[in-house]
Amino acid sequence: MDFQEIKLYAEACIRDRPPPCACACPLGLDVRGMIGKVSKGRYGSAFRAYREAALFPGIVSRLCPSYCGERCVRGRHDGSVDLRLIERGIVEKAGRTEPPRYAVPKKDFRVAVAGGGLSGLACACRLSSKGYALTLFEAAESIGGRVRGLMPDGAADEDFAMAFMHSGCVFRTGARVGGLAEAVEGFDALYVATGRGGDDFGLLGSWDARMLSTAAPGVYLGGGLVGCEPVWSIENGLRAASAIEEFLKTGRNDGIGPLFDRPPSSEGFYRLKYDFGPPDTADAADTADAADTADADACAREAGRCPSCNCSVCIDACPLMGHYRTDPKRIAADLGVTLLPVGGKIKHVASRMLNSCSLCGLCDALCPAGVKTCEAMYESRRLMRGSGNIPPAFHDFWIEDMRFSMSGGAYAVVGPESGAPCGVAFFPGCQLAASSPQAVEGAYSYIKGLLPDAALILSCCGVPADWAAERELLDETVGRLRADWEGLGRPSLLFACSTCMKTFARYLPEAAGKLVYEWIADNDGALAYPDAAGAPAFVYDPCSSRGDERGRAAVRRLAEKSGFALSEGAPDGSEAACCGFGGHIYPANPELAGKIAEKRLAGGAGEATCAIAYCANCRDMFLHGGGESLHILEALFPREGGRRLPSLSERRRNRSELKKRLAGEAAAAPDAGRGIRLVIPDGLVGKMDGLLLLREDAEAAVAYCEENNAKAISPEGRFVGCIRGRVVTIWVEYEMDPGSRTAVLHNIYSHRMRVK
Amino acid sequence: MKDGQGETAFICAKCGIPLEKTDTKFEYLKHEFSHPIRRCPSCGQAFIPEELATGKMLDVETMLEDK
Repeated sequence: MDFQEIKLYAEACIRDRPPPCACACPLGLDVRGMIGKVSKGRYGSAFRAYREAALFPGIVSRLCPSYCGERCVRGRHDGSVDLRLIERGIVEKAGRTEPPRYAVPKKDFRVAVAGGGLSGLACACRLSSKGYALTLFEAAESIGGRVRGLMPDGAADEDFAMAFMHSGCVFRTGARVGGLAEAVEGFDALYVATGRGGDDFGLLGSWDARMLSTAAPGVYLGGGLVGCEPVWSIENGLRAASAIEEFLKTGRNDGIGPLFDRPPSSEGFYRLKYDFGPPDTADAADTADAADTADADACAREAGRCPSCNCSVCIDACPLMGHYRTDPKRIAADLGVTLLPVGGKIKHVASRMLNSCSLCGLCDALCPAGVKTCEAMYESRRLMRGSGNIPPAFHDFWIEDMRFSMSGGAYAVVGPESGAPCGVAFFPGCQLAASSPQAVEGAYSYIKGLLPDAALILSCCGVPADWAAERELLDETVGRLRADWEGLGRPSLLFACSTCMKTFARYLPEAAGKLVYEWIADNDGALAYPDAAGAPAFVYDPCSSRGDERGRAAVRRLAEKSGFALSEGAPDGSEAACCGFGGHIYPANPELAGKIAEKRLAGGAGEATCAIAYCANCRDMFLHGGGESLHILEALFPREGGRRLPSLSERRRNRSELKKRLAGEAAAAPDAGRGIRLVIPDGLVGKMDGLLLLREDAEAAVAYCEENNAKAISPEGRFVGCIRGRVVTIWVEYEMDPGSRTAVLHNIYSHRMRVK
Repeated sequence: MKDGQGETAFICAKCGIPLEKTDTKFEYLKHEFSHPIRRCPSCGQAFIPEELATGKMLDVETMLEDK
């Protein structure tokens, strides 16, 4: 997507767009708004809205053939909502409400209408209410035309009387217009609505069906004369009124408001999930009987059947949209303003927002109209990174974590001892190696047991660089992985992490493989399954597993064979939601990351139920929130020391130690403390994790203060000093025992601002 | 011990004298501004208390990141 495409990405969004029924209505009735009023019992308000659209509510509610009915989304379930019944109910309840009198200045134009049927009356009513001097000519002795024969006695007159109550329209009944010259004599514009078979004054041949205009400037044709049914005749009258007003104001013969270009209905409304309940056949029968005797109860009941079609699928599912109270159209506008490629003082209103997106793709997967919000967020990050406008602190920690995974301290390629090309390589991913190295060892040992030549790649897949839109780093990582994979003989990869698998599929598709769980489930002959003895559990699918049906099924199979009683209500993997780790949003928006974790924890299947995860970060999220969780590989290959939540510093150490155990050696980390032993009380470890600070950071800060004597002495006699890192300044408060060169940390905090 | 401005004194470890409130320049995301913080009048050693780092400074950082 480029900037223009991002700005327009939400064009197809159907939220707040007219539902199919309103699109089918000749009068463009705001059905959703009207139903909303009825459901609140506000019949007077509903009536005013209905009258504004229909003009003659009594007539339309009786004569409309319900164009909306065949488009109703409920029609496929248990019959369309009978809007006509609802409209009848509204008219019965509030039909005597007088129209308001507006103080409209008189316009200095005279308009003639030839024909007093519905179309002519509609045009005359609308224009006279706007202050134009109207004269309506009707050949018969009374107005109304063919409607009179279709309505009970007097019913149409009530509507006309009400509609023209405050109008200055002059009615000249029994007055047939002889010809065009006579009709336009003394008038600035003319609407010819002489009804079916009526006189067209020789203009039908030059008639424009959209503008209703003719070859004669200021003369318009419509209604029954051009074949309209009653409700469409009203629409033509209103359309002609709009065209005439435009003509009188501007002299243009081709102007009608956009209101009259009916918006196309979106198929997306039919793809939404509606909770209609069981089919309501009794009501459908009642509805048919009640059509002519609508009462408020029937009206309210029928209105209750209307789902008021609107889409909030992504808003309901996405924590970011909830947090920012936004939706795709607003996001598109905000991204447009933020990315606007002009210099100056443009406010990056969406900078934090677009770095708060987990990039999990849930919104894109759920959208019934194919709107790609996640993709727009991702592309916006890329553009923003390109213009250098992403605050470095938003992604620095995880980029450094990735660099560590790719460093000699953690990166390893372990090929077959024979040096021969291997057929299979295990790619556990950096996060599982960090959180639960024992699970990696267990799985690798099992694979090696069956395939002695299986290789191991301890690495990051590159997704942190992708999420940070660090394209160069991503390319460099992918290039290195490609070379090492080719060096191993292009083996099939077995991934423990769905995100790694997805990243390979995108950037290194030739090396794409499958989840290791699928392989284990298919090769479980030598597996000694544990016996969880029916422990209640549910499988928590990571967001990146969306679309990988086989991988998801394999994890469930392994969990069941391990003796877990999987709850039936386990979340549906196709709608799997991110645990909050995706997109590395925490540094940009810790509040939202916390909210997401809370939501996922609350969505767990009960306190005593274990969340079986196959994403290390999902597992860590549950454990961090106090929930019960187990990585499926921890369940299959239980080892001592597993199932705990390591600190950020331990997560790095775990990767180094894993490399030592499986690859023989790992590059030693530089001594950040330069000979000073730093004691960090347990109470500070959580705080440091929250601040994304590592033990090495604290050690480096103390070492810097000591070596440079760059410190102050607090009233308590402790030392306080700081070190400027890449993107943050880290302050340490500590006590120092110079004899043993041991420091005890008392406090640590940081800020992003630089002191000059 | 109190410093001249009534705040509890921090002593510079290098110079052995109390830090004093000094107008100091800060920089973040290409924006510069100044605010008084305690510094050593001799060597410039600074001290920023946690309340300032996680309060006002964080507010300004957040504001600039959204700008």
